[in-house]
Parts: sequence; C-alpha cells; structure tokens
Amino acid sequence: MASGSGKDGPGVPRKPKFKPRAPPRRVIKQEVKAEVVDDADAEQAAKENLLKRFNERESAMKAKYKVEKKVLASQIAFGYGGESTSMKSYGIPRGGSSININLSSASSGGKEKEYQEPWDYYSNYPVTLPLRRPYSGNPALLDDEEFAEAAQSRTYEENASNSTMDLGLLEENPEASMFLINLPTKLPMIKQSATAGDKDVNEKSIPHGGSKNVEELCELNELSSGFMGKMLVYKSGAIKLKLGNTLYDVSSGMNCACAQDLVAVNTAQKHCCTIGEISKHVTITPDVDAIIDNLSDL
Amino acid sequence: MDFDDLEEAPIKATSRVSKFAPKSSKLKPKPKSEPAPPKPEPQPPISKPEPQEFVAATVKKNEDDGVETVPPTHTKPELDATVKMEEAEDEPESVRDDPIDEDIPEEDTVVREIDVFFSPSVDAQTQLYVFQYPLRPSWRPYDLDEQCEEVRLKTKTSEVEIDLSIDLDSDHIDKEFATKYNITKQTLSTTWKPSHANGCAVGLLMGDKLHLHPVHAVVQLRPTLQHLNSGGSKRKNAASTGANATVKIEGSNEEKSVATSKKQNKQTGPSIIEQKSDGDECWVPLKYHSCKSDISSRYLQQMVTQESSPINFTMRAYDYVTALCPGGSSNNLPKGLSKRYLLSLPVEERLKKMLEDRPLHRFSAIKHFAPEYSENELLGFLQQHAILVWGLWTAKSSLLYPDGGVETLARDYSLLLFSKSLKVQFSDVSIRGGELVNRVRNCLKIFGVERNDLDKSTGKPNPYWKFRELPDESFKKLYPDIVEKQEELFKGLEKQLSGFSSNVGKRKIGKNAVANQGVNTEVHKSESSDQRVTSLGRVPPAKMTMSNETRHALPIALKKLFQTHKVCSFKLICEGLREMAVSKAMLSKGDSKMAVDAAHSLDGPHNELMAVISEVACEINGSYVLKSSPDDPFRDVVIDMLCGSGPNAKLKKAEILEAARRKLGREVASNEYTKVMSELCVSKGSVWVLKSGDGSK
Repeated sequence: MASGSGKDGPGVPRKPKFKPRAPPRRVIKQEVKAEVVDDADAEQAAKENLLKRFNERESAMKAKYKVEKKVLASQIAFGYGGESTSMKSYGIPRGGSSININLSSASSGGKEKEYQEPWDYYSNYPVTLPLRRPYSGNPALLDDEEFAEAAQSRTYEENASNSTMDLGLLEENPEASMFLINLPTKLPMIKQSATAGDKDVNEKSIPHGGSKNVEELCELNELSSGFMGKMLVYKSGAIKLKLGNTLYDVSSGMNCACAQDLVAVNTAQKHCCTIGEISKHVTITPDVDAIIDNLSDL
Repeated sequence: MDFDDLEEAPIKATSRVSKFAPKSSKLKPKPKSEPAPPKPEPQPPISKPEPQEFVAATVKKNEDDGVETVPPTHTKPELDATVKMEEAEDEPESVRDDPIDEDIPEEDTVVREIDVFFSPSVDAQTQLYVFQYPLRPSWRPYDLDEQCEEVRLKTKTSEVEIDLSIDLDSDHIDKEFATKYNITKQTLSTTWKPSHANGCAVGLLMGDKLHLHPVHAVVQLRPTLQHLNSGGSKRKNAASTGANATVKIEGSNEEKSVATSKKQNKQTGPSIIEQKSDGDECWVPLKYHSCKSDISSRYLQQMVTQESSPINFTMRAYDYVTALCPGGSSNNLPKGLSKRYLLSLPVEERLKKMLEDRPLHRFSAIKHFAPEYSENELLGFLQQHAILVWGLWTAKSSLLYPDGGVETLARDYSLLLFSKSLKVQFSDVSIRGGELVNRVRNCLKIFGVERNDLDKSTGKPNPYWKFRELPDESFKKLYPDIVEKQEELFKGLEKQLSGFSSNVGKRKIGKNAVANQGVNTEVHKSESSDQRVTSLGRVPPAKMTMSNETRHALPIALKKLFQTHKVCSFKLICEGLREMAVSKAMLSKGDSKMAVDAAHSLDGPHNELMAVISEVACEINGSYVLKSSPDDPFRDVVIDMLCGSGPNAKLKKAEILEAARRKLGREVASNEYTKVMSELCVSKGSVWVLKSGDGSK
C-alpha cells in the first residue's frame, strides 16, 4: 500500500528520466506514520464509508460491481481524498495484528469476489497468448467467448465484413493514419509509353493475325508520380478504387496485433527515422465481376 | 466482518494505482494510437468498463482528442448518475442501427471520395522499411525513443539489427547474471532475410487524400536468444526471489512472490543477450531518430507533397485481365482480328478487313458481320471486291495487291486451278520460271492444304493441294444467277492466263517477266515434249465435255486395268473401268474418287475416250496393249511384227529372233524372249498368236 502510493507521489516528476528506486520509498514510510497519528478522528469516518460501500456491493449485481470500480478508479485519478482514506485504513492492522494473518485473509477475500490481474502492468510483465489489452477482464470468460463451440462455427463471410468501419474511413481523419497496402503485382499500364504501345499493337496485329501480343505491365515501382485515381466509400461499407478504366475492391486485410513502424532509411546520410505507426492492413484486388459484366459486347 | 472490510480496501487501492500508471506513460508518446480503444467494443458485457477508463485518461491529457475520438460520451464519469446516463445512451444507439440496416439494400450511395496520389520514392537516397515486432503487441511497443542506441543495416539483404540499452539498476534486471555474461544491451535482429515487398505500399491518409509510397522491404525484428541457458536461469530464480522479497514492501504472500519472480525471469531472460555481430557483410550503422524529431517531420512533409499530374491508366479492362491471366488468351488470338475491333469499324472497311484477314469466307458468316447491309447490297459489294470459288468468297487480287504485279498473276492462276477441281496436281502447274512457280505454290498453300501422293511406279513424292474448305452448296442453290456470273469471270480469267501460258512463240526469260511489273506480263514457256504439245492441241475440244478431274484420273485407271489384262479390247476397257469404280467405292479406299472420276469418261463421246487411251496404249488390229517403256525395245519389235502381219498374225520364233537381231543389233536373251511372248501371245502348236482381247486367258 505505501509502496503503491510511493510510486504515484514522487513518480510524476521523475517519469521522463528513470524509474523510482528503493531509497525514496523509505522516506515516504515516515510520512505515512505521521499522518496516521495526527488524524485519529478521520479513521472513524473512513470506517463508516467502507461499511456503506460494502452494503451497496452486497445488493448490487456483478455488472454494478464494475460500475463501482469505475467510480473508485476515477476518484483515485482525480482526488487526493481517496488515497488518504486508503492509506489511513491500511495503517490500523499494523498496530493491531500480525502481518501474515492479515495478508492471507485479504488475498482469499479478493479471489472470491473479483478477478485480480496477476501482475503489475507497470513492470516488465510477461507476454501471454492470445494477445489482449491490459484489463480486458477474466481470461477464462474471454476464452470461452472467443474459442468455445459457438465460435468454431463461424466462417469468414465476405459480404458480412464492413471494410469502411474496419479501416475507419467513415469520418474525417483529423490526424494522419498509416496503412500497409497490398496492391496487385501488375497495374493497368503498359511499360512503354502509351502512344508507342498502341502503334506497336496496331502494326503487329495486321501482318500476324494469330500472334500472341503479351505486353508487359507496369509494377508499382515503375510508375511515375502523380494522381492515380479516386477511392469511393459507399454507404453500405464497400470501398472501390478506380484507376483509369479498371475498378478495384478495397478490403481490410488481416488483423495484425503486433507492433509495426514505418521507418525511412537513408544510407547516404546514415540515419534512420521512424515516421509513424502502421495501424491497419489493406488489400486491393481487381473487381473481376465488374470487368466481366462490361465484356458483354465481346 | 470488520477485519475483512478493512483489509479489502488497501488491496483494491493498490491495484487501481498500478493500473493507471502504465497507460499514461504509454499514451503520451503515441497520440496516433488513440483510435485503437474502440476495438475491444465488440465484446460488450466485459469490455464496458474499459472505455470509461480510457476516456478518463484521454480527457486528462487531451480534451479535444477525447471528444473527437469518442463523440457519444461528452461528460466525465465521476458520478453514479453519469454512469446510468451512459447506459441509457447505449440503448438508443443500438435501436438506431436497425433502420440504417434496412436502408442499405435500397440505395448504395457514395459517402466519401478520397483522392489517391502516388510517389515512387520519398527521396533519391531514402528507402521505406516496415519494422514489425511480432513479440510485442501494438499497445506495448519497445521504447525505441529512449532505449535505442544504434541501428545497423545490410543494404543488399535488408537485414536489420537494433541495439537497445538496458537499465541495470532496474528492479527487473538480475545484476549478477548480467555481470557474469557481460550483458550491457539487448539486440533485436532479423532471424531470416526479408524478401522484397513486391506490390506493397504504405498509404498515408490525411483528410480526403491518400498518398501511396512503395515499401522497399518488410522486416521482422525479434530478440536474439543466443546466450540463454538453463543453468543461469535456475540460479537467477533464487537470486531474484531474494531481491524481490527485500525490495517489495507490499508484503504479499510468499507463494505469490515466488510465482511473480518466476514470470519476470521468463520475460527478462530472453531479452538479456550480448550484442550479435555478423562477419558476412559489413553493417551500415545508422543513427536513430524518433517520430518527434525534425528529420522525421521533414520526411512526413515530403511524403505528403503531391503532384497533380494524372497517371494515365489507358488499358482497357479486358486487356488488363487478359494480361493478368495469360492462359486464356492463347485460344482467342489465333482467330485473327477480334470481333469488337471489327464491329467498331464502318461497314465497308469492316468487310474489306475480313476479306484480307482470311482467304475464304462463307456468305452466311459475312452476312453476320454486316447487319447494316441487305442481301442485295452485300452481294453487290462482294461481286465488286471478291470472287466466288466453290460457293466461298475470297478477296480479289486487286484488293490485296492494288499495284498488281507477279503476285496478282500468281494468285489469279491459283484461283483458276482450284476453280476447276478441288485437287490441284503439281503437274497441273504448267508454268516455267522459278520465282513465279514459287509464288503460285505459296498461293496454293493459302487456298489449300499441301499433301504428297507417292508415285507407285517410281516411289517419288508427288505433291498436290486439296481445297481447304468444304464447298458451300447452299449458296449455289440460293443464288444460281450469281454463280453463273462468277463462272463467266473465271472463263475470262482462263482466256487471259491460257493465252500467256500457251504462248510458245514468244521466248522471254523469266527475269524479264519479274522485271516487268505490269499486268500484261508475258509468261515464258520452254518447249514441251511431243506429248504435251499433243495434249495442248486437244485441250479445247476435251474441256467441252470431259471434266478436268476425269482427264487426270483416266490414265491412272487405265494403267491399273492393263496390269490385270495385258491385251484388252475397247469393250473390255469400258467394262473394266466400271467394275473398278464399283469395287473401290465399296471398299471406300482413298483413291475411289479417282476411279469414279475415270468412270465418268464413259458418259462422254467415244472418240475422246479413244484419244486418251491412245496416249497410254497402242492398238494392234483392234486390241490395245500398254505402251512399252524405253528400257524394253524388244517388246516394241514384237508389237511392230504383230501389227505388220495383220489380223490373225502367226509368228515363228526364228522370225522374231532374226528381226530383233537386225533392229537391235544384238542377240535377245532367252528370259527376255520368254517374258515378252508370255505377256502378249499364246502358243498354238509351233507358232505364237496374239491373245484375244476379251479378257480370257
């Protein structure tokens, strides 16, 4: 308890430099004792508050337990009174009974009523699978939801997925967001210049009616800079990309939970710059259905 | 009861205090990660408390961002009433979603348009990499800004190593272990060589503009585990247990402390490793700059600057898909010009293109490609620009070769030959002059399929050309008047070409013929043998009644007949031809058509048939015998004696031998004598008599 408050107190000004060490905590202990001695009347008020909260919890449901947790957390976040209350209440058992007995009874009580995180997230805690955000809840319950028999029957439905919501394109983006985009290996442009390509095709087709004119298409690296086309976001959640006469489907790619950074590397000046964090994957494929529909006159 | 109440409070307070700290530290360096919190929302029953905590955190730091990221929640969750209000707000949102779903299938409108810009590179010397850290989730990245000491890169293989400093004074570091192995830093490296990212680009979305930049490589970075061993970890457990026991003043249970220390050891173990060094290729050391530095912001500005010149993607969708899947296109290209291309042309150009593209066309196919024209208009066009051969239309030579010349002459001659019969023998190409013959043969290949027929006597290949397509009989039935007109055209062509080919008097060299590019080029022809002169002399009357096919087939059939019956009368010849045609038609052999054609000669006048027979055989007192080959002069002697003796000639051996000696100047061998006499004559007593022509022995 005292160590917890110690982390908050001196930690705020020192966070940008380094983490707290053992010696400052000893100083804090002395302060705690002084406060306990001075505020004898406040202890009784704290007892009454705790009794009221305990009574509320008995009548409330599990969901309401979480609601109350929120309140307590926010109180700790915004006020100094909460901390002082907890500190004062902690001081009493030290004078009254042995430490071991109190610890064992406290831990058993915690297990029965709520799920307690197994480690301190402020420290270098281990990685557990499946990857979940801190304070997501009881892993047993989450595992049942995610991997139980009901979830096994799920299959990926293309029409059910909503790319717009996945990529966050519904609203205006106030800040720059980065995507890793997978494009087709070939783009609808011939490697030669457009006019020369057309002439070659016309000349070749006349003498050799049956010859196979397979021109080479441009890859992404061979394009010149400029305006490519328009990306259209529809109300139903579909996203289309139009490059010239060709239409593409834009869909969200695999949900990547690992950390990804976009880095600019300049080997001449020998520096390496992180530009930003990549948040989502995007996959672009040609819309073959639309192309086949337009070939009715062939 | 009182003791439980008092003891629960400090534990919860401790957990809440610890909960808050890591969020604030993580959220500060990354404002862009704020949109991430909405992800846990798909799990409503358990994840409900989370947004509140995040909202509290964000409201403290950035009130504006907090309001924008979570618009429905505008108030601070300090009171119970606020919590209840939020619950009430959630319900109407779910209700509102239903009508939106109903509207979707009715109308799908464009909600937003995003302009896409492309830039091949940020800078001439700069390449973009994507660093992926598979062992770190997105909400817990490495603190590169503070810990990164050096980044090393191999430009050829795109291998990357990152050195991270370690705080040896931290509670989570085992100092003894680090000191033992001289561990001063942690190294992240690529475990395998990353492949170049083909087709991968990074999209930077700002407002309604998306900027695409190709990515050079995607690199995965993991901690190296080279110096981890089990002995060290065991000792480390004991040491860390003692350290944690003394350091932590929380006074937690002894079992808990052991479990916690073990977990911490597992985490710190993999990350404590000496610096890795590779001797393969020299590493290029790079200085690291965080995303807040000036250089990084400059790069970001360069990436966002756009060029407004449009990139022309001029390919049609069909061509693009054909290029992506080239397997299917091989079936379509040999068919010539595509249907879409033809239909896009005006009618006259379209028809001319069709006639130029392929040599032969059916009238129904041409009609299908010209729906604008009526039948009369189409027939008028075809009669002007095309020629009818066996019911199929082909372009006139003037359409293909407007200047005329040798090619026109060769093509017309080929068409003339095919118009007479579906098969053209090599012997029918009776033109001298090397180049012209080659051109004629090329044209014959265009209109027909070249094949070889083995000559049965000599075994040499005898090439001929068969007409490529089947004749279109339906056109002849429907439009007989046009067929007659076309036949008259061929007669006119025949007069011109036959005049040139049979003009023996003028002797011009073939080179002169090639030099003269005019339409009236004369064809030089050398002297032919006496037989050819004879045949040319008889061509005009024969063509009146006997077809060309019959004239070609008859000599072959006669030779076969004489192999069976050495001496034949005219009556026997007629009967033999009929029997041959019937038997071969039943056997359905390849040359049954030849026998049938030969039998057609019986329908014509007898004098024509006798003229053809006289080419193959010679007459002896009303019977016919096959003519002798040049290497058998004795046979001619016998034939002459039989002719000279008159009907019912009787020859003696002494007379025959004496006559042969005088003519040939040598003695006749006995086997030669026996062979010839047994072929032509039968022995009666001591004299030889000619065989009867009725087929009996």
